[in-house]
Amino acid sequence: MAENLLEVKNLKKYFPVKAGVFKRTVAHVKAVDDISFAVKQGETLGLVGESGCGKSTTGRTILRLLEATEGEVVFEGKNIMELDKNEMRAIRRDMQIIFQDPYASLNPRMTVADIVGEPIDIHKLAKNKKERNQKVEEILENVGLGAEYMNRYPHEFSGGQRQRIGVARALAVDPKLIIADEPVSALDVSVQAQVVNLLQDLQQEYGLTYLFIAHDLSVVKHISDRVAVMYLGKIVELTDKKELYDNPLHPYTQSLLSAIPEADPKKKKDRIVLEGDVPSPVDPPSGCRFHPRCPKAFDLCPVKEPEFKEYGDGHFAACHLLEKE
Amino acid sequence: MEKVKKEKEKKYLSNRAKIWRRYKKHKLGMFGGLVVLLLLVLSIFAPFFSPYDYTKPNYEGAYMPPQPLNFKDETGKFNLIPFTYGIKQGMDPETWARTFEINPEQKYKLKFMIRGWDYELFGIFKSNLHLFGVEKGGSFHPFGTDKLGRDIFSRIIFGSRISIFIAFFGSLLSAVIGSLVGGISGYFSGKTDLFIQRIIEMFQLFPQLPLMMALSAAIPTTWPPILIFIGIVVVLSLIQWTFLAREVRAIVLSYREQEFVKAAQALGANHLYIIIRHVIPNCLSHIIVVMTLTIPSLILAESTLSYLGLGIQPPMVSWGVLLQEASNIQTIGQHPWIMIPGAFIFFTVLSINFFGDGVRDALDPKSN
Amino acid sequence: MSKEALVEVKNLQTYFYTEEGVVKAVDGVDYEIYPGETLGIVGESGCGKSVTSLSIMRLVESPPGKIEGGEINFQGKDLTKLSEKEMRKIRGNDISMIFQEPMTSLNPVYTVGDQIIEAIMLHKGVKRKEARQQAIEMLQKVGIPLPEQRVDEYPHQLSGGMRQRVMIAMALSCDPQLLIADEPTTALDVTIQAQILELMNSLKESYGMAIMMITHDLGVIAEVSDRVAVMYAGKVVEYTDVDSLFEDPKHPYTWGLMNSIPKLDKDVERLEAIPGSVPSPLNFPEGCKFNTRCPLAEGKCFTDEPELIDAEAGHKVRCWRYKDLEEIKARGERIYADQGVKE
Ligand SMILES: Nc1ncnc2c1ncn2[C@@H]1O[C@H](COP(=O)(O)OP(=O)(O)OP(=O)(O)O)[C@@H](O)[C@H]1O
Ligand SMILES: Nc1ncnc2c1ncn2[C@@H]1O[C@H](COP(=O)(O)OP(=O)(O)OP(=O)(O)O)[C@@H](O)[C@H]1O
Ligand code: SF4
Ligand SMILES: [Mg+2]
Ligand SMILES: [Mg+2]
Repeated sequence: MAENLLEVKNLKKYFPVKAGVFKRTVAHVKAVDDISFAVKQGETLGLVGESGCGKSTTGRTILRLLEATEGEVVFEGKNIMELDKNEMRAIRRDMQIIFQDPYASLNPRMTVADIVGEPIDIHKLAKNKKERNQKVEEILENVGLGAEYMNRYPHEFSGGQRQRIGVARALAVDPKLIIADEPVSALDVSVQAQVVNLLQDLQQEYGLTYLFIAHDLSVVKHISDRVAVMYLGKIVELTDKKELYDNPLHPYTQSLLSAIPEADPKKKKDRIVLEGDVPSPVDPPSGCRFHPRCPKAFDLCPVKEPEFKEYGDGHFAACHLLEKE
Repeated sequence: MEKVKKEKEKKYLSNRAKIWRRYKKHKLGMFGGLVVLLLLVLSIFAPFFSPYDYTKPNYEGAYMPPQPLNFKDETGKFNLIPFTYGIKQGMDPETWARTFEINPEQKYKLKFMIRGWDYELFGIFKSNLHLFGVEKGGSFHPFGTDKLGRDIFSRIIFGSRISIFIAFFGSLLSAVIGSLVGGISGYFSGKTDLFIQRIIEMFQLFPQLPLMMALSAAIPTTWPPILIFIGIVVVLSLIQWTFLAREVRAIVLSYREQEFVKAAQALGANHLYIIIRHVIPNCLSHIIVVMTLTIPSLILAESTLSYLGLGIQPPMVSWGVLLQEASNIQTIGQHPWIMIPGAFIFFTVLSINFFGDGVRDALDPKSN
Repeated sequence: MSKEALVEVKNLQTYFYTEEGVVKAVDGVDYEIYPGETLGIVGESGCGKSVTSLSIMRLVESPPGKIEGGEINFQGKDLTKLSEKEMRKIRGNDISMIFQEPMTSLNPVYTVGDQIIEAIMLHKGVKRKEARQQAIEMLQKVGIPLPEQRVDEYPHQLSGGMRQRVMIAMALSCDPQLLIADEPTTALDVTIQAQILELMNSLKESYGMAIMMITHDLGVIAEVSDRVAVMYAGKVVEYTDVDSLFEDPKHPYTWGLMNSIPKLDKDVERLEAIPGSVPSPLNFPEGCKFNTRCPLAEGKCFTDEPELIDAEAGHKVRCWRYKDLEEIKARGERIYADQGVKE
């Protein structure tokens, strides 16, 4: 069994909601509310959930782009929440991020060479300009972009190519963990596969570990080894991808799976259509957060929060139904 | 063919080189830039380019109209070296107005690198070398003279020294203060932002003119000219910076949340690096536009101060002072050439705007 | 097909005259929509899906846009030839439309009720009071809880899914014969998308109208359509009923699209990726528009544009080499070479 590269323990991130003339905090958006999971060396952990459930916040809090409200993030045995500025800077070489929006994540006024060279400059990984540019060239080759693109600006590229540039920038520091925050959601359908394949190739080549965030369960299932399902700031189920698909335990996972329209007209599924909308994370429902929409909710659900427990070999879930059985 | 192109492009070009490349393609911007450069050179070496001492009155030759340079003399003979005629003063017997008549007997050739009035360049180099002038005994006032008979051309050049530098340093200083304060306000937001915004509002609450007057009245008149000059620059930029600060804050706020800033943070970049590498370059074009718009208003603000006796005082001269002298309709009607400084201001402002446009477009990678 | 088509689009061409050049956004589109059927239009961003639908509604911004050729036959009339006044009668009454962004297609300063009531009064000529009653009924039908209360709320007080329901209520309030839905679920979450699709399917049955469903999601297409037109670069490249399309895609693009998306029920090691990206509409290639990305492209593909022809009865395809693709498929080979690191 491979070692855990990353362990997230009881992570919380609350955003204050401010109102009034004096900008007093009147409430909190509980974007991430007490989640725990581990990512093993060399694996891909998928993180799925609907918009606003806290996926990006989780990713950014792990990297300390946002300061956590509570909890620990242990990377290679070190709790990085306790690191000071300089130690944090050093560890940023090992943890990188790829963003969803290939338009917003590249500075429009920098050339590709400068964008990909930036990490090299910041961490002083090259002795001189020549070495740096040589490195940039190599990385660009590795993500399938020729060196002839070095002097171009982001707007001269297609979405897929830009996402490659984003990947190249993350690779430049030779990281161990890459958090990919919806790296294909903004891309054309026919281009998504290119980037997915690229990420898989790079993982093999460099032995990378991924935390792969997406709202599309089929993409997550394709690329991940294990999958965590999030709902309203909580992880409700976490298991091996095959197990998740064959034997989903949580009612939310079940309905999520059945809600995905499949590209097969012959298959008429029995669909579990959820009622209502996703509630606001400012004032989440009591007890189990899913209970107002859950087709199987019973009297305990609005009262008590279910525990996130293991039900059989590495299959975690949080639902009262399971405890009952 | 494709291969050749690839090889050629492989050479890494710094962003600066690419910006310069784009700037060179901007015709109007190039033109504006050259004019601004020329004006800077003119004003730095003002005494060298001025044929006359701009402070020295010549009561004999007050309100003399511009003197043309002639190539052909009265016989129609062509001279390779241009010359001016001697001037005979007279009086119109009916209107009692002074008249200037050409004396075709006297011809004075134009000369370059001529010795003339003494000056000190930057207070150090003593010299009497001038770019041009006419032979001894003659006079050459390309833009005529003012009511005290002072050479308007020389006054414009000396005036530009003060006006351009006040406008230039004033807008630079206000841009620096404005973008720094606005940048900090937007980038760190929260309490810092709240505090800075209140200060800016306080500044903006005061009506501009009285504030400007009060501040400039605080500059002791006993100070040496150079200190007064600096004082005025500071006063003007203190008035102007708040507008820029507001705008920069708004832009920074929008860029701060952009993912490329987050990406740089994830790479381990510190705040200063992010501000310099990511935030400022994206605000720069905006700052430049605001700066080019501030310059003309500063030129005018300076002239207002001078008019109120609070700014640049004679014998120092600025474009504002010159414009003030031309503010009488009657005088203009009789001596239209004293308006020439106005044309200079117009031309300068236009060129600075072209220059600003050029720089802005050059900074923008999307412009071709 | 024995039934008569409700809408028949023939060789439609809609161009935009921009500063950079002529954008042939729609350039040769043919399809029919039958009463009570759903036509799915699928294709990637920029292939001209929205412009086709706007052309039917005659809502293409002009200038820069202009319908340059073709016919749109609807109830014996050619919509391209109608006057603006005649068109206004058709819009909202016979054909209505819902858009991708429920945020921007509702006016934020009016209550949702006002907006539906307005539409009903305009098209049905009933009194305000009655219109309000009908509006509440409509909201009820599209599954909005407490419609009497919701009718007086403003768009920002509703969630995305609710807004889309309001849009549907508004579109259906005048019993249209054709409902054009331009990516009605793209901005929504999967669970909300499922609700909306379910709703549209049930409404189609109860109202018996035809739907033109525009999307880039093959899953949605499989779910709701009876017949599908696949678009690429302003042209329909494949057109058939939904079962044949998924069973036997005949165009290399359709084939690639289907194999490049991961499936929930099938595990594959690697996805087949279509190389490159969609060409800029200012810069379409000569010959077949797909030739820059097509692994089968050869000789003729680079010089001559293929026609949309009947490969089989009722299965049209625009490709010179669809027969070769057949053979490759029969041999069980992949046509898209491994598209990993290198493009
Ligand atoms: N800086 C912030 N201040 C206040 N609230 C925030 C902030 N960032 C995120 N949130 C809130 O936290 C919640 C979780 O947001 P997050 O971006 O993590 O969602 P997500 O799962 O990534 O959604 P998406 O799929 O839309 O990207 C949302 O309700 C969001 O409004
Ligand atoms: N007003 C316009 N002016 C110029 N070009 C336009 C205009 N509207 C659309 N186009 C162009 O027409 C082409 C087709 O656009 P259209 O909106 O139909 O695409 P689409 O298939 O609906 O894409 P999406 O999935 O992104 O909605 C695009 O290349 C677009 O740039
Ligand atoms: S015509 Fe040629 S290029 Fe076009 S899809 Fe068919 S094989 Fe490919
Ligand atoms: Mg997100
Ligand atoms: Mg569209």
